[in-house]
Amino acid sequence: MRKEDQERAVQEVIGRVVGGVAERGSQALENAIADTLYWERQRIEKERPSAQRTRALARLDAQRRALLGGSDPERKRLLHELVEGFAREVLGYFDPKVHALATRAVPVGLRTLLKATSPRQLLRGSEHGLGGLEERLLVDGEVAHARALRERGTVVFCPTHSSNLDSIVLGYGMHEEGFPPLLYGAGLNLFSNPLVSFFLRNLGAYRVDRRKKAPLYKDVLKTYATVSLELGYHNLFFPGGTRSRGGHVESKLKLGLLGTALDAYYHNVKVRRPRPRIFVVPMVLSYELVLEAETLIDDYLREQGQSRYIITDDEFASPRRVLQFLSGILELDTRIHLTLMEPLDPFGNRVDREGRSLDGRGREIAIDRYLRGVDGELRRDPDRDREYTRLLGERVRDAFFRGNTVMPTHVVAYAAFAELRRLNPGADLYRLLRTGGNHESIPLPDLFRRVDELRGRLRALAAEGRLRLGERVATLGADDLIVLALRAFGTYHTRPALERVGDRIYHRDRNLLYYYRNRLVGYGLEDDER
Amino acid sequence: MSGGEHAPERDGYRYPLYRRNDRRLARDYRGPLYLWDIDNTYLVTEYRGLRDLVRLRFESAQDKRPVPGAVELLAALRKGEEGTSGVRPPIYFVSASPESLRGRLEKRMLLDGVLHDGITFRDLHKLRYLRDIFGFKLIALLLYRLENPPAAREVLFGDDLEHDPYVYPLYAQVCAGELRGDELREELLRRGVRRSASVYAAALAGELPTHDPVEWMVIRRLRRRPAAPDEDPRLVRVDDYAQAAALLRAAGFVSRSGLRAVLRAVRSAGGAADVLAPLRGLEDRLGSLEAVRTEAEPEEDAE
Repeated sequence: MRKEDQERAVQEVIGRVVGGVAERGSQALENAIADTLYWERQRIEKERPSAQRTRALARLDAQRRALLGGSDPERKRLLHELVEGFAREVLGYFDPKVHALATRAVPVGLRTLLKATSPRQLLRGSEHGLGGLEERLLVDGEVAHARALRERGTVVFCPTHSSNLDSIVLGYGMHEEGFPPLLYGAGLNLFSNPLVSFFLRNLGAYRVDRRKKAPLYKDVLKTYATVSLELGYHNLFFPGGTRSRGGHVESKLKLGLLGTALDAYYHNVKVRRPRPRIFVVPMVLSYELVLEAETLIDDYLREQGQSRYIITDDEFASPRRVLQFLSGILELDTRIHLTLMEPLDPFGNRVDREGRSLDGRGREIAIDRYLRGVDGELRRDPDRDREYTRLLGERVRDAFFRGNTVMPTHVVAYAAFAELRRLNPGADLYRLLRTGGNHESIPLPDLFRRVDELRGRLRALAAEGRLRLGERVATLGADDLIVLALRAFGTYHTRPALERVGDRIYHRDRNLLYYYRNRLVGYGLEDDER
Repeated sequence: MSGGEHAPERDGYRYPLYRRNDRRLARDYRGPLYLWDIDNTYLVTEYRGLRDLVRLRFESAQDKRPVPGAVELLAALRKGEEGTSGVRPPIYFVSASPESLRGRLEKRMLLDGVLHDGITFRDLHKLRYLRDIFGFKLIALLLYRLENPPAAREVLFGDDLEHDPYVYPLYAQVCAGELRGDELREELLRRGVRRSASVYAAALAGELPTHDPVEWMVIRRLRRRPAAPDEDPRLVRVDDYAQAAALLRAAGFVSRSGLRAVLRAVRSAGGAADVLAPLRGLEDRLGSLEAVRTEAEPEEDAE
């Protein structure tokens, strides 16, 4: 956020959050403060002993005493203090000059680093066509549509989330397509790497500390996002909340953050802003290989349903693995697809290039009426708004599935896993993943037939617009897809998901196989496995 | 994939090499079987002296580059005729490189999408075998022959920088039963093969049925040296893999699309000037070249 807007945003956030609590009465005020102090104490007590920790605990004690002995105005001041602390901590800082430098430095830096993985290529230059990451990133879909809308309102980009590299890829890809810097919340853990932190901050990221569990902190985050939208900052939210642990296309979305689009639109209409519209653009990031796949799937399987929300020790934390991954991406001649889907309004309706909301028949809808009561007055109604946001969530989720670009690793992993299941009828999933069942390998001709059949079904789904096929999946035969997938699996991961020995395919890392296979779950293909 | 097996023992001796054969074909398999050299045949290997030897030793998989068209030809051979999804013809590599390079070479193959069924490397722990490339190649070929189905039809690929144009015809002679026992031992000694290795090769040869499986020997020409007048007529020297693909298309080993993929790759590297040159004079074995000539025409929209 630009310097000139920062103070305005902080004051607006404080006003709304404190006002919102205070208007619910004295008890709500006390509860909000007590809750926050409790959660903050829980968090700080888990930190390693240090002078900073001691000071923080002492401050919490003082605030607790102030809560217990204070009058309502004093409590309101205390709440103000807590909210302001959170708001100033969250606030992103954006310097256009540094942003310009950062976007120029990203491709150059990456190319240099990648060539440095082979000193010979560093000396030779790119004579063998080892281009930079920019050549590997394909931004497609409704790019022109989204570009037209940024002149007609404020845009919220909502991508799928597979990897910590997403933020960098998105920031860079959108810049290359001529979009202004996007404001987005990035986990505090991403800021631990100084280089990544530099790019994140200057590509528009603000800090989100997921260790802070206090509802008040979440309120501040949401309000900050709402205010920034109202100030005309295009935002980027990951509606899945966190990286997809199992490799699936996200189907459970966090509606709280999505709901800020409606909040911002409401405020814009209320204060009669000249360009009140908020547009939501779902985006899908599709990778042939995912940097942190090994850690993510382990986490998913170990604690299914109770995944570690913050992973700080994954592949992203290891510069060597990041370089290996990027170098693999370049060598494989594969592309990362960043697909922009059809823009929506905050109620989930389609939007045309002029920014008009359209109904199912393509007729224009006056959406400000959605926010008015029967008397025509603008009115907040939490139940109604929740329903609108739920509808928006459904449309975004639907767009995620339709925008998913299928890569050879997905097809071959799906087919191999289906074959593994066929060979082990009735086997429990976890046992199958752990032991591999009764067959340590699959005959190559059997996998070939599976891939061929699956490819046919995927083509039918693509023809119906239910998913997208990567160029190679669309054009190549089963033989070539298997070769490409084996190549990808063998290039980066510690152990390949699949490995060919002679005319048999060995499942070496079944967790990884399951991870890549999961990208095709949700399309009704599962019946094939039986 | 890593590691390999030693050669089997014969009379208490085994030749120093590491080998893998990951495929067990049915004994009645009558399809093609391909044997490839690696340096200068599959991969470009610039070797002019000790400095290059050190460089090659430390070269990463990413630095290694295939000969233009080699990857496409290997893929075409693997696929065989159009639309077939049954048994894929096996491909073996025989490399005079030390086994320590296995990881990098297999990584390169993985990156190129080259599917192989086994590789034989030299065991250079015994330095006295350093110069014995002739003996190594012949023994490696004989070991695969012993294991593989007798009726498999072999096509051998090599280059003329070292011994391939001499080893391959000799190997065919051995299989055909024309050169065995003492005669073979003496021939090998004459070619500088170590005595123990020549005895070993003769022992292996003695276990073979009398059947010559070699259909073609494709030699990548890197030296401007004319062929000997008595050279085996199955040995065809090619300037690039477009010519090799045309030969193998005419002989029924690769599909039309396979040929065109090789042509595209070679043409994009500036080759494929006269695709049919090495086929002229082979019409008695290949039949009319007209169909291949048409298929090898440059694609209108591609180039």
